[in-house]
Amino acid sequence: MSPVIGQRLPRHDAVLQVTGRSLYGEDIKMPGMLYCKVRRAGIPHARLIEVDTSAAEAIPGVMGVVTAKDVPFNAFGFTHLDQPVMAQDKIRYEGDAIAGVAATSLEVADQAAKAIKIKYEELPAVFDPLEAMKPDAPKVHKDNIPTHFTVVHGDIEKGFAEADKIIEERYTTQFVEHVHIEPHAQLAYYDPTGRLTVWTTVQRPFLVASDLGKVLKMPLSKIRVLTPCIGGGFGGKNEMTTEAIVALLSMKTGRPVKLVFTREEEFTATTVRHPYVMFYKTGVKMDGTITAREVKIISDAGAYVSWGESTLTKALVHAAGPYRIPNVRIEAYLVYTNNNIGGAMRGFGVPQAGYAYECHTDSVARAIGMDPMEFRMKNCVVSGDTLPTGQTLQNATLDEILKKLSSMSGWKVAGGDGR
Amino acid sequence: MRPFVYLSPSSLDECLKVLGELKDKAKIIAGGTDLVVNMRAETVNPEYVVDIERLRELRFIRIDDGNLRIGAATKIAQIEGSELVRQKAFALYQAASQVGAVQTRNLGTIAGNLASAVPSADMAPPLIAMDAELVVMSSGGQRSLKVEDLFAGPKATVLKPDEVITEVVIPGTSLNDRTWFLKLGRRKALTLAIVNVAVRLRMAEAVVREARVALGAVAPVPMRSRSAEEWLVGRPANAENFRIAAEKAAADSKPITDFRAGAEYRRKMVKVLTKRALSACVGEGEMA
Amino acid sequence: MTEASTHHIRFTLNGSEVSADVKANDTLLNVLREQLGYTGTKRGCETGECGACTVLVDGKAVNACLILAPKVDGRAIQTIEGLAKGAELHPLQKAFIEEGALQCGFCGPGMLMSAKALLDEIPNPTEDQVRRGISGNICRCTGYAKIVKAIMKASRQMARVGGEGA
Ligand SMILES: Cc1cc2nc3c(=O)[nH]c(=O)nc-3n(C[C@H](O)[C@H](O)[C@H](O)COP(=O)(O)OP(=O)(O)OC[C@H]3O[C@@H](n4cnc5c(N)ncnc54)[C@H](O)[C@@H]3O)c2cc1C
Ligand code: FES
Ligand code: FES
Repeated sequence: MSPVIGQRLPRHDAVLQVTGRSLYGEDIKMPGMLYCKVRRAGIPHARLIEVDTSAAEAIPGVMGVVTAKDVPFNAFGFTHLDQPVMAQDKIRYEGDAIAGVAATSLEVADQAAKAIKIKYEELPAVFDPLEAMKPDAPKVHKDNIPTHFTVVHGDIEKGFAEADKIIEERYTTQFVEHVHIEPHAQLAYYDPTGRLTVWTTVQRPFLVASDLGKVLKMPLSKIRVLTPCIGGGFGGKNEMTTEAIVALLSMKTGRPVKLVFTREEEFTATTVRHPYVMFYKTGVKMDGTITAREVKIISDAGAYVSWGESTLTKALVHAAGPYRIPNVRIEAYLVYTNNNIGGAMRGFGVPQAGYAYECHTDSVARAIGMDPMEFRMKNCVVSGDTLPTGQTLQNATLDEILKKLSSMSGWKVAGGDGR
Repeated sequence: MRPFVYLSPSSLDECLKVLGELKDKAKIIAGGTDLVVNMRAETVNPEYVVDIERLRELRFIRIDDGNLRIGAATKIAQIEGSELVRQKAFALYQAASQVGAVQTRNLGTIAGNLASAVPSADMAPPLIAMDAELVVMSSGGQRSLKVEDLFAGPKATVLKPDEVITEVVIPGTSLNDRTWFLKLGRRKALTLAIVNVAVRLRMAEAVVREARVALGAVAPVPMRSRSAEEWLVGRPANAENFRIAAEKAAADSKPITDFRAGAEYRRKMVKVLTKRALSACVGEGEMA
Repeated sequence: MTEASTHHIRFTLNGSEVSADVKANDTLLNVLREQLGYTGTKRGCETGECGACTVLVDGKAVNACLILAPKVDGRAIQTIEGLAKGAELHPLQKAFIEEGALQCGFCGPGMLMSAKALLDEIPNPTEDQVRRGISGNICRCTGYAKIVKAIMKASRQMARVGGEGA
């Protein structure tokens, strides 16, 4: 018998967890440590004219203040270098970092962050991605559509022409914050030999290390990113946030610097699940054969792309659903707005699409008076089928799952449809 | 949280004296579940914080002259756990058991709940329905105030800065009546009411002799629905009259739309909850 | 701006006498974590909403983030660090491990302290009572089922050994 597989094993760190000895982000401390607060924009869209830190610097206990001017290369991002460490000449959402303060106590840091004066010229903001796609919409970046994908499979016109009925619907999903119970926490120490050590609550330490290398213009050999125990992430701790600010403050002050997000910052200045607007159009014959499906997805990226392109690609490949459809066209747009930045979250774009195509599948079945389960059984993909993206399936088991689900749930006994 | 001076008077007299001197520079703290949250958000920034949590003379639940008297700094958890409250003021027990969660109830006090003057405060509707009065003291003397008259607006009371609620008094005349409280939140714990409703009925045979219908979270302050009450008095306690009273309650309510719920939904729920509370009050179809 | 008053406070922490000099606007949570180095108690929201900071004051579960530090003068405080008796884990801790009740574990200290307060008060709770007892503690990872199971299990085990481990 395997010592592991099929066995119920306690977590290796379980004793540390239940005794309160697991060290999470905020639990890491260093002697001489300073406390950091980040001044956030607090307005969604503006031209940034001037950041005056003099009043903050004059407060006793303030050891250092950094702004965009202190960042060697002020742009990062997983697929698009569109996000500044601190806002340079433009504010694109309320959570944009403007400046970082390091002080001998959190109270002083907080007071100093509030004392920073921001001079700006407010710009009209756009919060709806459909509005942002219009030519005359306020421009969040040069072009509000950083990415656009199309998948074409078969002949969509022919498919709709063959249909007895065409069903069109619109689905929307909302912002979701991850609300991991542990807030983001970061501690950076730039030592006198020029090495940077950063403890940070991220799920991808190597991505943060490489982003830090880029924005600080430092070789990776000088950067060490360590992750303590992480108090939940769910995709919300997927990317760099303010590590570079904390690192710059440590460089400036020569002391370790620590930053812990407030719960308010978790809601206003970290990523969320992208809201999607999804248009579904399906052609179907009265016998339940699907002849065509057209899908258009608009993803609200928020102010920066972050993981918007990656999540959208996932949504795209799943958008038609696990059904045999000979003619498919899928279009997907990522759109900048002045909203919170969309990022990774459990399911990575697929839950949004899944919600839409399964609800839509029910609607299509009802439109032709067919039981939705029977409709799914008839159309579900099986081994050998080819998906719209060109992938040929092996070992597809959806038909078996549906059969089992149907009997386990008593679908037929309950008179189908279940409502 | 901005700096302040913390004072912990050792008696009520001393407390009143201190407050009399500091006036609006000071804020009373009891459990702190409302005040500390507001001070952290820096929406309330007192120079002095005067603690009444430890004043023994403000922590009791007893029957006195036939009235049920509850000390102002009595913990909500104690009210929830009190057999006396359960027997004599059932709606108050029901409301206490639904405030926040265990931790909140262990800290929060009955007067703190009222004085926070949040429109959704769960202690208010049952106490209003039971015609409860407050004993209010200051270094200048003492007065009594109906709970119903405490509220001046959202998060505002008619209390002067140096006044302390010392007691909540539920008159004996209410203690033998039937009462019921219902709360609708977005979930079962740690949630403020979208709507809360408390009712009190005094019956003779099957006819209603006295009625109170108190509503929370549907107006700037917790309120009574006079038209619902008037409809009920003198009429048989039956489903049809409860339905009409509930409709009147909904019409009396003045809800707003906020992130918890829309005004229209709130108004509908006033109707549903009032009807259910009235039915449950006379022992028909209890529903939570 | 007013200066914060300072207070020399004494209290028992997991059975030992401690004292601290605190500021009026410090919270118990800050004093435990920052001044006394008891980082087992977690900070999740600072507004009483998450329960990560749950400790027992005079045996009652409360949010350490909502308590002004001077208030705990003379009180008895229990934190997660005091739940085990030396190397011997509390039955709740054992049950949490055995049932796999935690994932990221961040809610654990608060959850365990709420569970302890519950079992101290109601040694044989129903599942409903357990759910009510931990209703002030949010767990984003587990979905609670295993946490509830673990608390039920611990209560049975404690009953078997006659209330030992309380
Ligand atoms: C997580 C959480 C959940 C909550 N859930 C609920 C809920 O479900 N329902 C609900 O109704 N409330 C809820 N609350 C609000 C709050 O807990 C209650 O209103 C509580 O009863 C307040 O009492 P306290 O003693 O803590 O008040 P404090 O915070 O000490 O005081 C509140 C206010 O009342 C004043 N005050 C206190 N005592 C007196 C007195 N004797 N005389 C004059 N003024 C006084 C204070 O100056 C302050 O302005 C919740 C709070 C939190 C943090
Ligand atoms: S940190 Fe105290 S309840 Fe969340
Ligand atoms: S285990 Fe992660 S929050 Fe509970």
